[in-house]
Amino acid sequence: MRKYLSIYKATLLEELQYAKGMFLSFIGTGIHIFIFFALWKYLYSSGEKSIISGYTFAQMIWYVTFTEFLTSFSSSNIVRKTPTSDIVSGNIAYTINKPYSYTGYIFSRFFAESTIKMIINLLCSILLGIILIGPLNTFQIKYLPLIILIMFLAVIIASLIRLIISYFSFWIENSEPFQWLYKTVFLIFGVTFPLEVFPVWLQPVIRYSPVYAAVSGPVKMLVNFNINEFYGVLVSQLFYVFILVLIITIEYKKGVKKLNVNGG
Amino acid sequence: MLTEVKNQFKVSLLSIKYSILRSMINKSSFLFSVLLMFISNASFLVQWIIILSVSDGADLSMKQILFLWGIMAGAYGLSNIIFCGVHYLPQYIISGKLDAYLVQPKSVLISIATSQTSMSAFGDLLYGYAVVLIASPSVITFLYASLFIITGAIIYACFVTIMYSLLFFSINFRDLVTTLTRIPTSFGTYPENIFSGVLKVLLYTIFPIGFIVYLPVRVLLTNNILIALIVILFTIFMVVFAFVMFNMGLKRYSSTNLMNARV
Repeated sequence: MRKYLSIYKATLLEELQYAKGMFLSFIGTGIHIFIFFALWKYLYSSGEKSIISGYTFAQMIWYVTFTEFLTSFSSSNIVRKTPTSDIVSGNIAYTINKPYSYTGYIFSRFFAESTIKMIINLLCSILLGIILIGPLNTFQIKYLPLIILIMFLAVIIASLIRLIISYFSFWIENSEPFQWLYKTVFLIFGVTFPLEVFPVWLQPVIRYSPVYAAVSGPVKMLVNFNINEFYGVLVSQLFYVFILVLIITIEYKKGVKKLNVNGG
Repeated sequence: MLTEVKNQFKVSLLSIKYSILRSMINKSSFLFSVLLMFISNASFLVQWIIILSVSDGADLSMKQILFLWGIMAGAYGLSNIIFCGVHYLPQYIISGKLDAYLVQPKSVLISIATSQTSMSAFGDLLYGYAVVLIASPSVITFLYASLFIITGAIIYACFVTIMYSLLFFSINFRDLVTTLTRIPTSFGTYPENIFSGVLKVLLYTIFPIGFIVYLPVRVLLTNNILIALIVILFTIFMVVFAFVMFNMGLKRYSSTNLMNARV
């Protein structure tokens, strides 16, 4: 474990040099939040509705702000591009003979980057949310530790899926198209709309999907906490963490063997 | 003068041809990228079906959304097929790789712009035509769509060029400028009805999304030729502006000791 902590510390120091770049990259996230703000403002005002699918305008904007906040972590190049480029270029050969697991190495780096990103993006997201819509009245501070727990698990699930997709590069040259598909599916079924906005027949499908565990479920708890639903989200998250870790372990083992066959 | 233009055009066509051929070297990877980009774009229709289901009272229609997505995806796709090289400008400016283009007896900007292509952009272009023709399957729609996909592609490439030309003056803005170049694709897939005030002014000035997609959609919906002419005139203005900005910046370009050649 100490070796991963050392990688974490080294990456943290390295990433601190680029903190300004991370702040600027929030501008992109901020633009998306602003577009959703304009969209929902238009939809709420056009029919003079005060509630859509059980959400007030303020809750909807905070929902979008925090789904964008959550997805900003898994868009990291460390889980999305680095493994792909390491595999395709053959650089992975230099890391697989080191006394650590490559997946552990990637995750140590990812957590280090996420630590800085979390501080910057959390402050910016809260500030932007307050400027756009004001404070969230339904937020209950006493549930904060529970919300932090499910937010953390959400980031792990999303980044595990990203890494699983990156490892597709063991078999195909370009895994990036799958990353686009992942981004689109998560954007449509998690980031833009809460579960309740979807047709009733589609809701169970989304509720039991990783999109709910990684995006909409945890953010819904932040916007409108409900202890029974919290347990549902937590169980679903633990299930997905277990399944995804299993998949990534098997995938990496098989992938590395394929890489050896190719002489990479 | 005419011969010079003809020669430049010929060289540009060859450059585009070889960029496209290069991107198709791995055929399965190419087809896979095109297919998944098409599917990824098509998935956004689900988003709009949901939005329209909660938009009673709003002035939005599926036809408008299909036109919007068609023109934006088509223009973005065509721009990245023909002028993808403009996205490499920061790298060239900062690392001094422009030298290889400067020694060629042809337009530096056109040579750079046509030197690269994006595989997935073919998926965007195909999707663009598909949704526009689903919304209104007619010859006139096809002709209008082709015109606006071309003008949109040129305006977008010029916008990216203008933004990246700022890096000639200071490379410190690289991250900011890169973020700003993504604004047209972020705003361009949402109807202009939802934006108002100062933002709407910005979308027709600094970020020319209005001319890339909003005005073309109006033409497709209302068949107003005058608006089409305005779009064409704006495209010419953007081309001139992009060349002026790039050439102004180029005067401040300083090389590095990096050895590079283009064969």
